[in-house]
Amino acid sequence: MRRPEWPFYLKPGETFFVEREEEIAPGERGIVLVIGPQHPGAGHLRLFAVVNGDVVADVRPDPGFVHRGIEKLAEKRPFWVLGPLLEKASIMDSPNIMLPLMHALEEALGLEPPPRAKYLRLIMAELTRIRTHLYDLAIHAIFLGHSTPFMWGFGLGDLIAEVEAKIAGARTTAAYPIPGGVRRDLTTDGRQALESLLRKLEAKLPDFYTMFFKNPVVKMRLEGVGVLDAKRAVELGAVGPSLRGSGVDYDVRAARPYDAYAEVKPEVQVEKAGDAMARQLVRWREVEESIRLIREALRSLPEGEIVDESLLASAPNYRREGIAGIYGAFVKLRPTRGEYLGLVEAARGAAMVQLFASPSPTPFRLRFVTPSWRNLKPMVEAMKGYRIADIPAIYMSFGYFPPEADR
Amino acid sequence: MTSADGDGRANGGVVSRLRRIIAEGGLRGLASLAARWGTKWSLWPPHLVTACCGVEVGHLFGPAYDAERYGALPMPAARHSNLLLIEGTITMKMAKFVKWVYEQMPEPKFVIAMGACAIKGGVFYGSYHMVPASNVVPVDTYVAGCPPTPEALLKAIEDVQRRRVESL
Repeated sequence: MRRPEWPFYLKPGETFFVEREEEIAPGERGIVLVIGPQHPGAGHLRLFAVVNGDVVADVRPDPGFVHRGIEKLAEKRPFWVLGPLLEKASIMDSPNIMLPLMHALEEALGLEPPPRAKYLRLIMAELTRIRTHLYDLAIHAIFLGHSTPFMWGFGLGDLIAEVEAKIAGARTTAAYPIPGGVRRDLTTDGRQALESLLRKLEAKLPDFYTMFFKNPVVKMRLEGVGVLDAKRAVELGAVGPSLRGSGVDYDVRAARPYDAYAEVKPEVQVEKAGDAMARQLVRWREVEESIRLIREALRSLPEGEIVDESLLASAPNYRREGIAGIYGAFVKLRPTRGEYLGLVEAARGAAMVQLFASPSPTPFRLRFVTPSWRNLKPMVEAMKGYRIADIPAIYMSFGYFPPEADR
Repeated sequence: MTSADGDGRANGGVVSRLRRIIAEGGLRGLASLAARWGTKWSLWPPHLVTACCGVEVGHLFGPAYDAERYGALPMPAARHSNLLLIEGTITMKMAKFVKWVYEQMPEPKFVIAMGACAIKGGVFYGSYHMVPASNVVPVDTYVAGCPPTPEALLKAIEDVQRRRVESL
C-alpha cells in the first residue's frame, strides 16, 4: 500500500479519511486514525495509525508531549540538584532512574558509597521496581477495561508508597540516592514496615495473579498479540521486560553488576513467546524476584555509615545537620574533566546517563537515555498487523511511560 | 462569592438559606440550586494526562483514597466531563491540546492545576518547552507539591465542590 501523505497539516484531534482514491492502491482501503493525546488507551502520546479495515497497516508515533528539556536544564544546574531533576522522568521508579546519574557523578567526583549504602540502594530500587511493575500491570488492566486489577494494583502500590515515605521521606519523589551514598538510613521502624509489607505482598500477589493472568478475557486479549521475536527485538533496541519477554537473556543487573548486585545476584527472568502476555509475565516474575532480593539484602545488610567517608570528613556538621551537612560538602567538590557513563536496569529497562563533566559544578553536557524511549520503536513495530482494539493492549504491555520517554 | 459570606454558615441554616433563594430567584433559583448540587457530586475529569503527576492521580482513584466517593470519576471523553485535572507540567506541544480539550468540555467546567510545574514550573522552571497552566486555561484551584499527595487532591476536589454550592 502506498502511504498517504503524512498528516502534519492537520489540526489537533482531527481524524480524517483518505479522500483521494489515487492515494491508495486499487482494492485497498485506508483511513488514518489519530489516537491521542487525550485518549483512554494512550496517555500523552499521539499515534497516527493507518488502518486497512480493522487491521493496522502502519503506525507512526508522535512523542514529545512531555518533553521538558531535562538534558538542557541539567547544563544550567549544579550537580547536587541534578538528582531531583532526573528522577522526574519516572517518578514511581525514582531510585532506579536516578542511579545512572549517581554512578556517573561518583566516578567524576571520586566518591565510593559504603557497603551499607549500596545495599540500601538495592532495597529501594527493588521496592520501586515492584511498584512500577504493579503500576504497569494495573494500567494495562484498565486499558483492557478490566478494573479489578487496577484497583488491586494501586492498592498494593499505595502500601509500597507509604513504606517508601517511611524509609526515604516521600511517597514518590524521594531522591533517595545521593552521590556517594543514600539520603537516609534504614531505621528499625522502616525495617519493620518493609518486612510487614513484603509479607502482605506475598499474601496478596497470588490473588492478583489469578485475577489477571488466569482470566480468560485477559488471555484472549494478550496471548499472541503484538509478537516481537528475539531477532527483531534486538534489532529495534528493545530493553527491559520487552526484551526479556522476547526471549533475550539480558539484564544489566546480571550482565554488568553495579552496587550490591554483585553480592545479591538476581535471576534473569525470560519468556520465549514475545507477545503481550509474555512481557507481562516477565514483569510478574520480576516482582517475585524483587521480593526475594529485598529479603536477601535485608538479611545481609552490613552495618556502618551510609555516606562516603571522605565526604563525612569534609562535612563536620553532618552529625548535627544530617543530610544538609553533606550538601554543604558537595558545594566544595569539583568533578574531574572527562566523560562518564552510568548504566543501570530500571524497572522498564536499561537507563543510561552519559556525563561530560567539566571542572565547574554544572556539567558540560548530560545525555539521558531512558528505557521507554528505547521501547517506543519496538512498540509501534509490534502494533503493525494487529487490530485497532489491540493497540492499547500492545501499548501498555511495553510499559510505555511518556514522561520517561520524552524526558 | 464574597469573603463576607464566609463559609456559608454565616447566612443562617439551610431553611433560611432556601427561603432567601426562593425570595430572590423564585423557582429558577431553586432549579439552579438543584443543578449546582448535582454538579457538586458529579465532577468528572477527562482522561488527559499531561505529565508525571498522573501517577498520584492513579492513586487518587485507587482503593486507598477513592475519589469516587466524592462523585469524581475519570471519563474517557472530554464531552462527558466537567473537571479538568491538569496533571503536572504543560509543555508547549501539550498546551494546545489542553486548550482544545477544555473548549470541548460542556459548561459549567472547572480546572484544578496540580503540582509545582502547573503552578509556575517547579523543578522545570526556565525550561524552553513549558508553560504555566494559568497561561493556557483559567484555573480554579491549585494544588501544591511535587507530586501532590492524593490527600491534597481530595482537598482540591472538596474545594471546587464547596465553591460550587456556596457561590449562590
